[in-house]
Amino acid sequence: MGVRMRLLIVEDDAALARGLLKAFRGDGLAVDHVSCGQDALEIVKMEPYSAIILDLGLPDIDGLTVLKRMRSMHVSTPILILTARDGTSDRVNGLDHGADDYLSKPFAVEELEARVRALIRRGQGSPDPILSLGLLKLDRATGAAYLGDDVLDLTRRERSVLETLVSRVGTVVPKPRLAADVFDYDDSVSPNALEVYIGRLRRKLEKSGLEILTVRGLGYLLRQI
Amino acid sequence: MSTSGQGYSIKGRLLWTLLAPLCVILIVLGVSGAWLVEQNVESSSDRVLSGSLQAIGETLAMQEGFITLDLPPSALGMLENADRDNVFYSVIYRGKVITGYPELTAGRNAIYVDGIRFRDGFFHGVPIRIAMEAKLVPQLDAPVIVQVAETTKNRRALVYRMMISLMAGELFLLLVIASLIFFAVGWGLRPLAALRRIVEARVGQPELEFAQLPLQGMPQEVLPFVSAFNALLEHVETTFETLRRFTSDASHQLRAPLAVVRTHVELLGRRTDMPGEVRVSLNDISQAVKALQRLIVQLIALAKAERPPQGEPTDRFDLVECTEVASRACATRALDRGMELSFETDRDKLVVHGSAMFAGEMIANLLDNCIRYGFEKGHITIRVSGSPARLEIEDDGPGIPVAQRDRVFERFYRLPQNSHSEGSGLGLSIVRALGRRMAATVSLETPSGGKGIKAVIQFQSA
Repeated sequence: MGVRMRLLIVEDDAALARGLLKAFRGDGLAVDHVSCGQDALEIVKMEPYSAIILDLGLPDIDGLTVLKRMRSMHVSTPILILTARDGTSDRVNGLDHGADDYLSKPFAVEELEARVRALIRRGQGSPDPILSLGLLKLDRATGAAYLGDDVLDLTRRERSVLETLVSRVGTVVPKPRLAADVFDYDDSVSPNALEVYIGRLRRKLEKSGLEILTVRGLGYLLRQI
Repeated sequence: MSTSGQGYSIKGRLLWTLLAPLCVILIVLGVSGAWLVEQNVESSSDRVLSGSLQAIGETLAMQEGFITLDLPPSALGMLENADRDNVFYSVIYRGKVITGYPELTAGRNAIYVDGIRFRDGFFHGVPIRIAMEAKLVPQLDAPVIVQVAETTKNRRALVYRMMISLMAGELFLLLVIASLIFFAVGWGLRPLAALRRIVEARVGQPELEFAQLPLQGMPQEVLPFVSAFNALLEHVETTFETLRRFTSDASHQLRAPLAVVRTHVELLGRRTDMPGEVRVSLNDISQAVKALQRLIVQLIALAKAERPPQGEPTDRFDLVECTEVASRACATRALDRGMELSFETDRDKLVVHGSAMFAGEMIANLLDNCIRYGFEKGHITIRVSGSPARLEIEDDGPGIPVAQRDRVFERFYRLPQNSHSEGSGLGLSIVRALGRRMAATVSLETPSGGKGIKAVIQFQSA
């Protein structure tokens, strides 16, 4: 990343803000902090931020209002809202008013960092073409796959199944979703066909430190051993 | 409901207040009735006796210087009765019995006047009734006294029979009135019994119900009580609601400081320059913070789930899809514990009543229990079947003793063997409360394999 990414944290709880500042500065971001809505609206006019973390419970202006005003000021920076409430209506409201992501307190710092990173990437418009997981690297631009320094030989369909699994590592990917990657929708696919590809991938990933687990009735899951 | 205590019975009170005076009235009636009976029996028997006496007296005559008496058989015959009373007679002239039973004398104060006199006496120690008439016979200077007597067996028997009938009648009346009171009170109190059933049905409910008691059909005497009770219900509901909101508000307020703690603990955990004991402490704190966070999240979830269903939209959702999504979300944690997770269904789609969000939360809580308390490398099976719509989540873990299966739905109740794990003790309470909001029932069963526990949710098919 050539330009240093700037992050704005709008949070009235000084102790939490200190922690967040420390975390994101440790990640190499330039971080600003304001503790009320008014300041936030002022500062976004002056600084181009790569992402904003916005607490909904602000002392002066309600966080949702701040969000709406920012969007009406044509601030297109990705915004993640933080709240001590976890009602789905809050989440829906926030997302409706232009928030890009939502996290309720308390959260795992790592998760917040991961989401902010994702937001920044999304804001830049071009996703990283290299998908990597442990030893495995998938270059989405060229279609090449590597295990460490070795080239991993994959067919087109194997690669597309693996790509889907890697992009959702640690989650169970439903069979129909994987089948859609591999086959055209109008193909009538026997359920076994997908298993054939999974079987082949398992063999090819044997010494990669990755494994594909079957969750019967639910789908497949890729994880690091 | 216990009926002990210092209570008294309305029936008892009514019976006492009505029956005591009634008894007095009946005694008075009985005594005067007895007197009347006695009088009537005496007078009618005396009339027969006097008829007999007159029949004898008519035949008195003087013939050739002798007093003659023609005793017609009918004269004494009319005195015959079923009780076989003995009949005696005597004719006395100048103080001497000239015919009849000599023992039947005229008595000490025989009055020689016209008309029939009656008196009581004894004949060989047996009580008798004596009728006496002084007859003036021509040619005689003194009146001839004719006496007819009979033993009083028949009279006594008659009096006795009539008294028995009287007593029986009174007793019957008493019983009829008592039972009428008994039934009338029961009938009058029947609305109260209905009221009691309504209230009792609520006692059995796991969730408090504050709906007002019905006023229609209540007797006027009970209405003020029911109204007052309804006012109390309303008051309790408001208080309860406030308390519930407090739980929810307090939980929200707890989140903010907890976020601070968690953030800083996690940041500290990233430092590599810490001595081992600090790292151990930090790890303990981190675990505790996570447990606390979970508790708060569950408390909020429970407060939300227990919110009274206010015009809940009668939504429907696809149980198969909902179960798949919720199960996938929990799969990673199960796999991390080395558990095997599988989902079985014979349906592509199963539409049921309720909210997919609630159902998802129920499934997440049930799976969380399986993962938390099941054995490592155990199996978790999730099943969805239709008609009736049914979701089963079973594991082969330690299970729950049958005796405890009701209690585990109570808030904060934990099985003794789990008291040290970091579960919140609220999961099943949330499951049941959410189920109730969409008329789904939750029960615990023993899986067919005999090991572990199976949670069964029955949904309302749409």
